[in-house]
Formats: sequence, structure tokens, C-alpha cells
Amino acid sequence: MSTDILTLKGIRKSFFGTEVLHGIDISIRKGSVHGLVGENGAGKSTLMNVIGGVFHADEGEMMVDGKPYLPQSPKDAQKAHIAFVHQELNLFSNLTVAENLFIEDLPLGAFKQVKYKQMEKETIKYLKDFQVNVNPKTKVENLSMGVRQSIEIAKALIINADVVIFDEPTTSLTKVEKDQLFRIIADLKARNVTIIYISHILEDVFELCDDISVLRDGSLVATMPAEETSRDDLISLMVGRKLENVYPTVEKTIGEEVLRCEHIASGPLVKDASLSLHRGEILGVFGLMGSGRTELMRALFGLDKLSGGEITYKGKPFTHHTPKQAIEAGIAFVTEDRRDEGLLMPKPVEENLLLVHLPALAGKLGVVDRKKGEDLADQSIEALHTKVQNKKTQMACNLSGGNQQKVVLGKWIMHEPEVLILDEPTRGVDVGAKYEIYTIIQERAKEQSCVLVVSSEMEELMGICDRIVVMSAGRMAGEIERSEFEQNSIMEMALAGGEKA
Amino acid sequence: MMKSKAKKQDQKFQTFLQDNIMLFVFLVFLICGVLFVDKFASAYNIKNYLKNCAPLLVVSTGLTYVVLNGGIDFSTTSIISLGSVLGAHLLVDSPLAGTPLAIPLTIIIVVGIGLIFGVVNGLAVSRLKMPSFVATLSTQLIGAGLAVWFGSVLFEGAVSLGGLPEAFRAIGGKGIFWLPIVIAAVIFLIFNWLIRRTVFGKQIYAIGVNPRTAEVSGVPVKKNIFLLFVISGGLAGVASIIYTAKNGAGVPTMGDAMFIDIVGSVVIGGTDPAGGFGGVKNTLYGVMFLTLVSNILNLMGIEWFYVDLIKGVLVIAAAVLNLIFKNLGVRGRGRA
Amino acid sequence: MKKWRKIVALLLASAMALSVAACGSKKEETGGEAAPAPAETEAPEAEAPAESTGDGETYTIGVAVDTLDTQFWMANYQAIKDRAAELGNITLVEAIASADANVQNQQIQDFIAQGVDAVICMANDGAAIAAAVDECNEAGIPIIMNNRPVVEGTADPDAQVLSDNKQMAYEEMKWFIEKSKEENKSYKCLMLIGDLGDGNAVERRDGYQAAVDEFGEGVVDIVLSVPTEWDHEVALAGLQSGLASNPDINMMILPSDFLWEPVQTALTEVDKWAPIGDDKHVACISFDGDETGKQMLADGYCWADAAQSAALQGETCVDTALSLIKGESLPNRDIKDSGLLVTCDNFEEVKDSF
Repeated sequence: MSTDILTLKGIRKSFFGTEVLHGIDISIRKGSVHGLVGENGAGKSTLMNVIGGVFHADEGEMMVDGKPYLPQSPKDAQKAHIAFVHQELNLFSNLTVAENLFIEDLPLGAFKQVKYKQMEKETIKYLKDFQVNVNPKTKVENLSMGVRQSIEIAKALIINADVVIFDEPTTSLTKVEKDQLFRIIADLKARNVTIIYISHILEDVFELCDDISVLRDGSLVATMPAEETSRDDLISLMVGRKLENVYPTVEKTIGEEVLRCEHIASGPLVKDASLSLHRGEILGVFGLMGSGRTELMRALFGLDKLSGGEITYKGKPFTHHTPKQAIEAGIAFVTEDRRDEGLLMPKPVEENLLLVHLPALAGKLGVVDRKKGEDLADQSIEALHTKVQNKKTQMACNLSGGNQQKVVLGKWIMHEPEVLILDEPTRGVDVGAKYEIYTIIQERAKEQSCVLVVSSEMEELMGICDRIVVMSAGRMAGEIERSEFEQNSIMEMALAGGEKA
Repeated sequence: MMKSKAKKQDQKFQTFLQDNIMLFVFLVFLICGVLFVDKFASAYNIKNYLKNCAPLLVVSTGLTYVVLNGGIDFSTTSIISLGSVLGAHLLVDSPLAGTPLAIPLTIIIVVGIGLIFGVVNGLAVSRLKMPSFVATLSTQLIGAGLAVWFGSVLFEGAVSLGGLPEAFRAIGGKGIFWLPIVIAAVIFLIFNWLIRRTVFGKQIYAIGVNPRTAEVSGVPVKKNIFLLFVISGGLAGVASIIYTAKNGAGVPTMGDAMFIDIVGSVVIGGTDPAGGFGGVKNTLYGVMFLTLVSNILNLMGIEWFYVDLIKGVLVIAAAVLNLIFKNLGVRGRGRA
Repeated sequence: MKKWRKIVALLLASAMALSVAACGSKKEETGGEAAPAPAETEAPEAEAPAESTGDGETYTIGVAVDTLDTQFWMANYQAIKDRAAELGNITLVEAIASADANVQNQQIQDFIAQGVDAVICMANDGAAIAAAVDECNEAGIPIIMNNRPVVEGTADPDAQVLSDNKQMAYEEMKWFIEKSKEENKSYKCLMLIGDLGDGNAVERRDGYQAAVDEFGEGVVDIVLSVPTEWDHEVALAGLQSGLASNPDINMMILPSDFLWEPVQTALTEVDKWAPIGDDKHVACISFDGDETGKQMLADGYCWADAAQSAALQGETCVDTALSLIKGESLPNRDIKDSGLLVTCDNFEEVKDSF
């Protein structure tokens, strides 16, 4: 106990009535490297944010070095000598290295002017520790990810951190940079700095960590020394839930191939992806953060450019198209982020519902048939059981998450697409609405549309899909038919190939 | 049942009030003007008032489209100036002068110039991703320079050019006072209809609120934004014709001082400068209100330095009014 | 909560309107009624206003001003006000257009709507003002152009009180040339030109040029003309580049005393600002005859200044307006003020008379 630097007892946290952390108990040994693993949505980020003072826990207590720890803000975490190296680095790309390092606490002279020379000297000193040779006057935007990360770590050292938390640190690093990072971590350990290491790359976790904790669905299911466990054990712990949820079923037939993409490459994340989608089929796409699933969908829809590969749609080549062309061809895309890309938040529900279908409602000269639009909107609201009082005055921002999602779905379905691409369709949606959305998806499939569902919830995919393909690091890692759905093997596939080449 | 019907009607009235607040303010001022200001209600004054509203309504309608997208178009004033000078010269001392086709061709050319500015602005903003502030400020400066150069360097001697043919001046209301009013009314009706009833119009509102959502939903964002500037430029060209005819001369600095009135009418009318809310109907209210204020103040014989002061105060008051109604929740931005 | 805001907003709107109205009615009490206006408020038709004869009546004159940024105009405007006060039966209504031709036309229309008896107009733009002149003609309201004429042939104002710019400039240049011949001097000259939209500026230039063409051979050579748009900054820029490219300039023509400031600045920069008699002196002749001009003559920087009688012109406008209102006819539409040629020779004698 006395050797624990950080202790959490009974930490609970809820958002909008939904509890996401169910009483977390965890103790981190001083000077150790403590790994934290779990699926997407297991609660790792939330837990770290509670420790970091970004969120306040609803219940429970924390102690740092034996003393009670109740951060009101990130600054309090800093004062407690807890440092974060976030997945998306918190650096200002248009400022220099030195400025970034000292941004929290710039050395000021008598007239409150910044003492640049002093800053730069100290910067060189700190960076030397990491064998990073960078001119402190360089703007961060001109540096590689590896160097940026070193700077972020240096920031941690400046506040004399006793605990450094790394959140998925290797996703943007090259192999060389990763080795560099591991050396730095070893170095920190030698200085008696405690490390919390969050990652889904299990090999790395085993290489670095002394202890490992597993988080699953908001609960801490196990903590043990690394040498007492194995990869398979970890996987089982990560996914070993009882599949309790009920999913709707529907009678349907699966027909011919409608959409095929081969060796798609797009942007930095999609390297070589191929899949095939059949009429009436619900195809799930599973993968961990950074695997490129969303990016693949965006490339298929035409939002992102393809740098390689071919798409065949209904037998004909269909590459390099715009979203508008995709829509005209019968493809729909419900994006991940309904707030920024799916809805017009300050506009009424009706306007949102009609947005995609507008051109079809137009008569001569482009005049919109108002009555027809109204009828279609009413139909959509009824069919999807969307709870809205007045579709003309109630704005999208005033609906619950579930209803918002139904509006987005309704908008796309109104246009009667043949291919429906869904990215995280039930994120931020309550249980009741989730079931309704699954029903809607099944109905579409029954009507002989094809559905592509991207989701981080394995259970959900297993519940409604006919087939699941798994992506990892931008490539296809495997495929499973419904009859062979099994959590461990799916996760195994998702974790494979986690190392960047 | 009775209660909810009454409530619904009350709600409907509330919504109507909120959407058309500036109309009510305008009517209040109008009534005050009729009752308290001498000579306001004379036929002569009313005709002038309407004639003054006409060209302002035309150019402000065009600008409304750009503002609905959160943008701005500074070049409208230069289009008015350049169009004025070019138009006058075409009618008076070009090979066209005196021919039966002179007037229609002049109109086509001047509107064409406005369209060219619009195309340049539109391409700069939609393709080159220039902020509209920068792009239209540049074209405004170029246009203003061209207008003066055209007037004074190319044609030596006088800078402004009068002596325009009577038939042309009719467009400004000479002899046929209702001609500019009818032109403005037709343009208003067309462009109000365009923004409210067509696919294009509804898409403009969507882009103004959230271009990303619009793009994902299949709206041709780039093309539409391009068209906004073309509309703004073209209508500025039409306004240039009316102003020139009205003043009976091509003046190279015709439009220079007009920007406040143009933007003022759009904003006072209730169109949100951030985009996505408002419309051409709102601009009509703004134009009528602003022109009314000028008219009343002139008729009251108020010392000139008070006029600008009062105008400014009223602009602020109108803006505050719009803000109050916006925050009542019906037109909020909704960061729920 | 919502309802309260709505009420407050409507109250705000009404308050705005009522304050404007209150302002208006107060104005009417103090400002005096417009001239006996016809009972019905129809558009004044082609006939002149019904009652316009007999003293003891009061008349309203609309004074349309462009800008008041030069001494000449301030003196002119003051003279109008003084004359109206002196006569006692005239109320003035004023409007300032601030260099916007479009606004000026609207202001004159509003004068007509108010039912003024006459309009005195300092036109911003000689071509665009034609529209306002036409309106006045149609309404039967006399309009008098104050110092700035309409572009010839485009409109028919009832009267124009003008400086005989061309003649004055011509005479001035002629005197200067003869003087130079006496002193056996010759000059390379830079001529500044006012705003080319201002008929006066054009006439002055034409006058100077005519004299030079006729008499100036071998004595005065105008090597450069610099347009100024009646703007100090523009003038200064033109002067600087002119002096740079023609360093042997030793004479300047100022179409208005308004331009002494940039001239002084530019000449000082090249160390040529010196009075008559000094080697570095650059000969200057000017126009207007305002306080600055007087000073320059007194200090010896200026050879000659064609003085416009600002006050006389203002007064004449008012008197002419009154005559026209009463229905009298004028011998000439254009009333030309031939001004006073003040030179370094006669300055002492006449310096108090302008």
C-alpha cells in the first residue's frame, strides 16, 4: 500500500444518466510501468480524464502518494505531478519547441517580457535527455510525430511528473521512433517515474509493463503482474462478457454481389482493403481505433480520395466519384459524427429529413413539392418512431441522441438507397432506440438493400450482421460468417498486425 | 382540445412575429411618419421613396445570397460605379450611341460586367478557398480603380458623363415613375421565390448552417457557393443601371458610399451574418426601413450631423432587436 | 420569460419611433412652417407655387451643400446664412451630401417634397445634378447653381452664380506673362488641376492654357499637368513625382488656394520653398483669394491670386433666389463674377477688399 503512488477506490462516473464507470478500484505501484488494456468504449479514456481532472467522478476517491487527490481541473493534476501524453498531442503547431515546452509557465523578466534565451537553453537541456537534437526555435509543425512526442514527454518532465500516462502512444510512430519511445520509458522508469501505459497492442504491453489491468464495459475486471498472464487470457478478459442483449431477427434472402472494392488505399490509414457486399446482406466491419474503418467508408462514399484500388458497383466500375454521384447511384452514408456531418443542428427536423431527397422532390425549375415533402417527412417520423412534437419548429439540437440518429437515418432512407453505409449507428443512443435502429437496419436488408455497418461494439455486430470483416492497421485481417461468430477470434484478428511496419 | 388549438394559434402568431419583426418595426415607423411628419404622405414623396428603395433592394437582394452563406461581397459598390461609367459612355459617345439597340445592349453589357465580377469572386471563394472578405475586397479595389481610370484617363476631360437618352432615364423613373419600382419588385419576387421554394435555395440555407453536413448529404457545395457570388455580382449590375438612369449620369464614384446602406439593409432586415438564417424577404424589410429613416430625417430638416447619428443608433437598435428574438430559442444556434 | 422579451422588444421599437417623431414635431415648432403650403399634399405640378408675391410672406429655401471643407465654401455658406438673416423673411433648410452625388439628388427631392420655394445648390457632380435640376423644373421650383455649374447642355437651371473661371484664369496668366517679359524671365511650369468632374476646375485650366497658348511663347512652358481630385494627398503625391522627374521646374499654377499646403510641403522637401527674390524661389500663381492666399501674397510666395468673391456669390444666390420666387425674370441665366485679380503689385491697395 505504501508503495502505491496512485490509488482509486470506487470511482463511478455517469453521463446523461448512463453510467460509464462502475466503481473502479485500482492501485498503481510506485516506479512501475502499469499497462491498461480494453476495447473501444471500455472506459479507458474516461478513467484517464477523471484522473487528469477533466471530469469529476460522481463517486469514489483517489489518492496520490497517500494523500487525498481531488482535481478540479487539469491544472490540479499538474500540481499533483501527474502528466499526460495524449494520443492527439497537445502541442501548438505554429509555435516553436521552446514556446511549447514552457507554454504553461513562461519565464518572465522584470517587465513581463519573455526570457527567450533562457527558455531556449533549458529546452536544449531537457531534450538532450531524450537524445533529441532539435533547434528549440523550430516550429512544431515542421517536426515528425516521433519528435513531437518527445517534446510532449519533455513537457511532462518539466513539471517533475511522478506519474506519466501514455494514451495509445505508438499509433503514429515509425518503428524507429517506437524503439526510441521504449528507451525513453525505460529511462523514466530508472528515474523512479511511474508510467501508466494504455494500448491495444498487446505485444508492446507485455514488453513494457510490470502490471496489467483490464477494463471491460466500464468495470475493472482484473489486475495482475504481466508475467502471470498471457495474450489469450487478456483477450478473453477484454471481451469475455455474457452476450445478453436481444437482437431482432428477420427472414430474408441474400442475393448477388452489389458492391466490391479491391485493394483500396486512401489517406494515411487505409493501406489495402477489400470487401464484397451482397444484396440483402448486413456486413459488419470491426476494428480498433486507427484501423482505418471509417476512412475506408469515407473513401467508398467519395468523401476522401482514393490513392489506389478499384470499386465495382453493380457490375460497373465506380471509382473516383463525388458524394453526390454516390447518392445518385443509390449509396447512402450515415457518418460517425452526426453533430458535425449528419445534421443541421439549429434547423428544424423537417428540413433535416428532406436534405438528401430534395432534388427528387423538385419539379420544373427546381421548385420543391412542399406537400410531398411534408408527407414523406411524416412517414419517416412514423416509420422510425422518432419522437418529435412539431417537425417544423423543433430543431435537431433539441432532440435526444437516439432521436437525432433516427432523423439522420430517416433522411437517408427517404431516398431509398440500395447500399446503406452506417458508421457507429448507435453511438450515444439509449437502449430502447438502439433496438429500434437495429430493427430499421434489418428491415432495409429485408427490402433487399445492402448494409455496411462499422462499429466498435462487437456485440452489436455479432447481433445483427450476417458476416463480419475485421480491419487492422489499414488492411483486412479476417472474415467470419455468422455461424462462426466468436468474440475471442474476432478480437484476435483485430489485434493482429498491430505493429507498424 | 380548445386550449391546444388556441395555444397553437398563439404559437403561430409568435413565430410569425419573430420571423417578421422588422416588418412590424417598419410599420410602426411608417405610421409615425404619416401622423407626425409633415409632407411625408404626399404623392410626390411616396413616389420618391419607392424610387429610392428600388435600386437598393436590387443590389441588397443579391448580397443577401452571399450573406446567407456567411460571406460578404465588397465588390458590389465597384460594380455599381464601373457599370455607371461604362454604361454612360456606351450610351453617349460609343459607336453604339443613338442606335436603336443602344439601350438594351448597354444593359446587357453592364449586367455582364457584374456577372464577370461575380464569376471571379465565386471562383476565388469556392475553388481557391479564399475567404470572401479578402477576395471581394480585392475585386472591389480593382473595380473602383477601373471606374476612375475609365472615366478620367480613357476619356479625357470630364469624369462624369451626363446627357443620357430619355428612354434610358425612364428606367430610373423619369417620366414613368413606376418603372424602377416594377423592375425591383419583379427581381424581388424572382429571387425570393428562388431562395424559398427551389432546391437551390434550400441547399443554400443548409450550406450556410453546416457545409460539411451539406456536402455529405449530396449538396454540390462548391458549385452553389460559386453561384451565390454570380448572383450578387449580376444584381449589382442591374442596380448600376437603375442608379445611373435615376441620376441621369455615369459617375465613377457612384457606388462608393453605398456599402453601409447595402449591408445595413441585409443585416437590419434580419439575415444572420454568420449564415444559414434570414432571407430575401428580410432584406426587403431592411431596405424599406433604412430608406424610410433617411426620408423621414430629411423631411424633418434635422441638422445633417444628427442624421448619421440617428441612423447609427437605429441600426444598432434594430440589430439588438434581432438578437433578442434570435435568442428566444426558435432561431438559436443550438449548442445543446 | 419569452413573453416578457417580446414585450420589451416591441416597447423598444415603439420608443425608437416615438423619439424620432417627437424630435420631428419639436423641429417643426422651432423651425417654422414651410412656406404656405397647399392644403392638399399633391405633387407640385408645373405651375409655380400659388402664393409667392407680396412682402410679409416668409419663404423657405433649401440649401444643398456638397462639402464644407475649404475656406471658400465656408465663407460662401456663411454669407448665405447672413444674407437670409438680414432679409428676415427667409428660412433655410440645409442638407449636406458629403461628396455623394446620389445622396444629393435624393436630398433635393426631399426639399421638393417639403415644399421649399427655391433651391440653392452646390453641386457635387455637374453631370449627375441634372436629374435634380429636372425635378425642380417639373415642380416649378427655381434652382440656383452656387458656383458650380451643370455640364453645359444637360440641364436648365433657373440661374447659375459662377465665377468667370476661364476669364479670370486667362487674365491672371496674361498678367503674369507680361510681367515676366518685363523682367526677362522664362519659366518651366507645373500646372495643378482640380477635380475633373468640377466644371470650375476645367474652366480654370482652359483659361490658363489659353493665355499660355496665346502669349506664352518662350516665357511660360507648361511641362507637366497634375490632376488633384481636389485632394491634398493626391496632390502631394503628384507634386513629389513631378518635381522628381522635372527638377528644373520653377513655376506652379494652383487652381485653388486650397492647394497651398501640399505645394508648400513638396517644395520644402526639395528645398525650393522661398519667397520672391530668393534664388530658390518657385513662382506661384493661384485662384480663390481666401485667407491662405492672402497670407501667401503678404509673405511673398505668391505672385498673383484670382480672388473669387465667396461672400458676394453666396449673397447673390440668395438675392437671385428671392427674385425668382417672386416671379421676376433675370437678364442672364448665368451671373458671372469676374472676381478680383490680386497681384504682388497691387496687394497693398486691395488687400482689405477681398
